[in-house]
Amino acid sequence: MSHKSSRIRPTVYALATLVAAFVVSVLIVAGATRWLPEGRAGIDHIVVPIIVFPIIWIVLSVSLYAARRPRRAWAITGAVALINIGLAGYGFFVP
Amino acid sequence: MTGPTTEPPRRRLYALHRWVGLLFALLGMLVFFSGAIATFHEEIDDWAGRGDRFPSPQQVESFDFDEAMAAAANGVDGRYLHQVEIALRHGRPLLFFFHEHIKDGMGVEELGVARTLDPETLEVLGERTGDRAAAFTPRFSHSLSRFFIDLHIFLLMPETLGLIATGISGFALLLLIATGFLVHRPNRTKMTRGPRTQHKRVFFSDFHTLVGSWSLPFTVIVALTGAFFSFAGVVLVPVVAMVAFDGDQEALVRTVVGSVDVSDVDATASLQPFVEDAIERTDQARLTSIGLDHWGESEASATVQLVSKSPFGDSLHTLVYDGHTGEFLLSKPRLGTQASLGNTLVMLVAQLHFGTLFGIVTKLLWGVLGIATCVLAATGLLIFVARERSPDHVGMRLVRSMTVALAGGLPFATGLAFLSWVAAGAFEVDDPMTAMTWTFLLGLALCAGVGAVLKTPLALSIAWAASGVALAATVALAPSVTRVSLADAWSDPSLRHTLFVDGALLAGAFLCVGGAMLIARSKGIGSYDPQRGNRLAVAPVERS
Repeated sequence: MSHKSSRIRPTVYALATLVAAFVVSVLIVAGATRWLPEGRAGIDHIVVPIIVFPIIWIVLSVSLYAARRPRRAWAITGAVALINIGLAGYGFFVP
Repeated sequence: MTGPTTEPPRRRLYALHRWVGLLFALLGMLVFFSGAIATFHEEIDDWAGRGDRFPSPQQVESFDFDEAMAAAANGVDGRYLHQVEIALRHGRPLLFFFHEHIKDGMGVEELGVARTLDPETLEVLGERTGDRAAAFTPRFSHSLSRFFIDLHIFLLMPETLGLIATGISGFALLLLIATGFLVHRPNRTKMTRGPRTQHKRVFFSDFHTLVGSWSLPFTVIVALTGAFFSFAGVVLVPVVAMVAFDGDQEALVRTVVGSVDVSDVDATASLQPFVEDAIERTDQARLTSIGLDHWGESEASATVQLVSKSPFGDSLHTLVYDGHTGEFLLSKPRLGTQASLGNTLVMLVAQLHFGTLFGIVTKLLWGVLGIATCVLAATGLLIFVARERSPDHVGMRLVRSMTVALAGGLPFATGLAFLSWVAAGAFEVDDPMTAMTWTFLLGLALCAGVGAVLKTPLALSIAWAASGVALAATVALAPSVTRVSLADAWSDPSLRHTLFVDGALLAGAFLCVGGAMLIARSKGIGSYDPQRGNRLAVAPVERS
């Protein structure tokens, strides 16, 4: 881990974090439609996640990229992604 | 996963800030500059169409919507008569878009016939066949504002690709704001201290931090809302439709917009009574559109949209009527049939992005801050150029060329786009949008070329001087097309928007020429005074 050769190139790492953050943000939006309350008009669970999507992305991107403990940051992001895949998939297969 | 280096996070964030800024300067500045201009699209429309304006139906005493509908629908294919949209746009003729909904993959395409009508004589002025984009193709006088709106939304690219490109620049800006904030950490000292002038890189860096700190709330707002507008329809709606509506985007839209139950009476309502009712209910608000849904069918309903204008922000009204009896059903929010958090947020996002939250006050502020964001991007590039470690390197030449193309080329290209619109009007060119597109690109390319060949200060001063000439020439030549001179606009209070745009163009010209003279003087170009010296070049440039 301390050897420089085992590390990822900065540009590749930056691109990986930004793309991963984007994918996980999309999964969070998809998963949120399952657990967010619909509200009186029955639209909040659809509209609110789409509006907050850019905020989710930027928080995830910076957290992943600038994390002091990258392994832990990636593990948490991965767990969040899995939970939301489960939520979205559950809704997809079990309407 | 292991991080990229052992460098502290702040240094890594700085590297990310620098490279994202360099990569997205072009797209970002195009989006911001055109956005700042597009904020005033209504004023530009009035300026461009000052000699050719139509009254609204509310201003025509004998106007009847049923007669207008009959005149517009005469001879239209019956399959298009069940979905009708009547657009009542300020100063423009009435537009009737008769269409049908055709399922296209997961989405819905609207195809039909659009007819424009003189509200006074009910004469059909024109007809277009095709989809929504074809139906709403702007008339000559509105093509100028449409050009800048299209540039802002689609970056002159095909629709989906353009939305993705502007969306990516919105996300890039978000990243720049977050990394810039964490790297520069704005504080009271940085926000009140003027730029230090002993070294040009320090000067640009201080100026960058100063502008960035003061415009931070604005840049955060437009980046968040812009990313939402660009990506919501292209990426997120299909994903949410897949999860919550089995991929049926039409069902998602129906749920979000909200549908109402109508009576089962076998009749079709007259338009005029419910339109009058809507105007009365909203205290004489201005009609903006009337949508007839499933007209003549069992689910017939009408949606009347109106706006109450105020100098401190507009209020929008959406009233729904039964399509069989004309009975008032409900006053609904834009989304859903009841008040909701989602609707409140969407309306707030729209008002924040378009600068209409507090009317003309926020519009003016947004215009100024939009230009300030371009200054932010330009100073970011100038910091890079000021390093000049290897000035003849191809990459460095490219950055210098891009700096001049954006900092000097954007006002020049804008002046050329305005001038080409004037020329298109004078020579009755059919497609002013294409003329504007090519002259705009030509303006950018010329400045990029000048930036690649000449030193940056000289290239910038030439570009700004040319911009000033182009903007002033627009004000001088526009009356030949619009048939209303600056003097006429001055004496007629109804033409205050014309005065505003002429004033803005002249102010832009003055600033550009002033900027060019300032650079020329400080760099010893033209009237150089050897006794005064060069403040920015007092300290030697670091080359190590």
